[in-house]
Amino acid sequence: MNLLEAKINSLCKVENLEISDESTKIRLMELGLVVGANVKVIKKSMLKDTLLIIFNSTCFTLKANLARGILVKYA
Amino acid sequence: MREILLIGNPNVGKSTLFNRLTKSSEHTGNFHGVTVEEKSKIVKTKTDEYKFVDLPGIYSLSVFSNEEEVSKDKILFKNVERILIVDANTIKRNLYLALELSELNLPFKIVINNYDYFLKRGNKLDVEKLNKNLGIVAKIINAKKVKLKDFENGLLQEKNQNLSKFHEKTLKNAKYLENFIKIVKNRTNLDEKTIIKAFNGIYENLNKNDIKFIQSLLPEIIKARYDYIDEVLQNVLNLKENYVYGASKADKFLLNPIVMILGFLLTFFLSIYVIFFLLGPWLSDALIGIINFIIINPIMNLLYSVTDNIWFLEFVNGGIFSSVITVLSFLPQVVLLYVFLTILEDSGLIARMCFVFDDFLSKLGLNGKSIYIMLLGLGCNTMATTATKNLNGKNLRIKSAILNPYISCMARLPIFVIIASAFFGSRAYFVVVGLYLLGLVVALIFAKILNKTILPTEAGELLLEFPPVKNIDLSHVMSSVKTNASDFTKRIFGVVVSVGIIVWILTHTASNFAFTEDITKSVLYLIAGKISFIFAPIGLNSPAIICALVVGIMAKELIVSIFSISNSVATIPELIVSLTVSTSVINFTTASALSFLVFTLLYSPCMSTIAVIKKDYGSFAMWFCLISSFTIAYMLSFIVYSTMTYGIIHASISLIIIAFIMVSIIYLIKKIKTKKCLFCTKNCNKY
Repeated sequence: MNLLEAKINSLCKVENLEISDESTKIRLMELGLVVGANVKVIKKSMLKDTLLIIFNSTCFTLKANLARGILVKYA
Repeated sequence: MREILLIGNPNVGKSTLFNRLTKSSEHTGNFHGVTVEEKSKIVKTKTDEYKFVDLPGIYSLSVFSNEEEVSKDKILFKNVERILIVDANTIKRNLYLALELSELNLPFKIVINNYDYFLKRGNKLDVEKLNKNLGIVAKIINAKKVKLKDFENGLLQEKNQNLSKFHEKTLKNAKYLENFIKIVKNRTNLDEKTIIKAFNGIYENLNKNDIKFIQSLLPEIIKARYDYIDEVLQNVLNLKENYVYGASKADKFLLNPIVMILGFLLTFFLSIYVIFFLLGPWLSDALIGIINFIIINPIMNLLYSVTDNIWFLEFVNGGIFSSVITVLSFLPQVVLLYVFLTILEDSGLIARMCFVFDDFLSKLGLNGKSIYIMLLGLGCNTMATTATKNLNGKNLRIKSAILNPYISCMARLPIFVIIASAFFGSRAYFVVVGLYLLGLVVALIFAKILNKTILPTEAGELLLEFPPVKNIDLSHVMSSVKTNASDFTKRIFGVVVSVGIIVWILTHTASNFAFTEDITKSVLYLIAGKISFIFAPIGLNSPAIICALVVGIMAKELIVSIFSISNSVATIPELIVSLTVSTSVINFTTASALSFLVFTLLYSPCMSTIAVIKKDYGSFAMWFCLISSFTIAYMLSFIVYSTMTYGIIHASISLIIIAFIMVSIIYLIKKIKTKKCLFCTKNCNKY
């Protein structure tokens, strides 16, 4: 299941980080997104192109095409 | 002189601290990436001299954007002192940068900001224990209230803090990099210093294979750094259960697209109505009354008593005072509108707007952050063009800079209000609203065309930290009012007065260099008359109007100023009446007035915006922006004027011709696209 498919307000665990853009992957990790950490999707935008997610106790927006690479499962 | 860099993650309060320490009024806001360029100011105290440098926010040294590159370059300078500003609410992430600095053995001090907000939300931080664990003294400050004297006596007293302890603790005790250094050493011939630099994105004298190998280790290194930070913060940081920085209960309501779009448009246009049409005239009259009473009348009375030289008296009254007064009378309105924009920025709503509009704007080849650029553009196009550096992706930045001038800035509002009031009476307000919407629609359509032709947007990300929804800080709003009022006044007394004088001289000097009161015999009128045939199809063939448009490229405020000089009037009500009188030098019909409004909205950015586009994106982008904006303005004004003058059939034929021209231009642009990137400059396409 990927982040896009996750339900809003459900806690998901990052199982793997497979993001094609290496620099974005590094940046996400530097912001505190690590394998095994919990991520919460709190909002999807109107066309579901952008997500509002929480990790490392902070709220971030993230483009869904990048989030697609984050494999997660429900915690 | 001691050079002190203020560094830290975005939106932690660096510019707020800079403003307090240097008594400056740099732009601040509750949004990620407000500062895009280095700003500095020298401050002298009784004991020392400091050069404070405010740098754009940076999350880590493995830079991700233009403004992070600016910060990184400066951070790596020798002979500078560094103050790392850390937000208590996101201390874990903020300490990541601290670790990187210590790995590179770069001295720095830590200040913890936003601590009140952190405590109020039920979180706890044991600062003593943190200092003990870090081996460095981190001090709590309130960037909004800190005083230079206290800062100097406290944090700046020691030149270089005991970094060695921190360095020792992070590198020698934690040993989190040791294994990685060994792995790299086994695989390459690199020394430890070079390896650590490479771990922080500094690849000096490394070959491609070494870089690739080191980069493959980065995910593990990042994890090791965070493990160490967790160790440091153990029993130090106690966040309230489920605490999230940035999310707010109000988001359920605010992030609804309909609420956001309608809420913003209603609030903005209501503000325009109240500020410009309801309160505006009263405020203007009051201000001008005071200025006349205190400054102008006494000076003119004095001059009348000492000289009867008509040329001189006319020059002072018409060339200086009337040009200033007509523009200055809009000061209260401009300032009030800035209050609205400041509140929007401080509240945290802009990041929410970025999120809500990201979907829609992405379809047009823009990005959620483009909303921030547009909102800045409502105030000042130059400021907004500078802020395009905040965007990721070369094409997106160039596109935003080219589109930004279509968003009507404050300088154009006086023109809209005066002409709309003169020709559309009670419907004036709707004409002004229509012009704003027209500018926005043109920008969005042009964005789509550029995206499909020469400036396709790269696969972009919207990785944006959400700031919390905050109560409005009145002192910051007042400070913003003061800054913007001061900037507006400076512009009037700088550009408007100087250019106003030149224009007055040109409009009162005949071709034989003699003084003339008849503007139609002036040099400027004769020159403008030579090119008036170009503007005849859009109903603007009066040389005086052409003068106003040409001078308006310098600064849009000048257009109103030229109107008042040409029609020899000193107040806004007089000017409004004079524009409708056919014997005035500058006058319009309803059709030409609307055509003029559309043309002024779109025809050209001001000189300072043009200069920023050239500086940041090169000559081609500048010329492209100028030619495209003029062409679009001309075509739309032509449609407006021909429809109102000759009827819908004539307009339809015009539309078909224009559509044909547009398609041909787009086809040509597409052809050019295949050859090479037209916008490449020396700064081309790094991020």
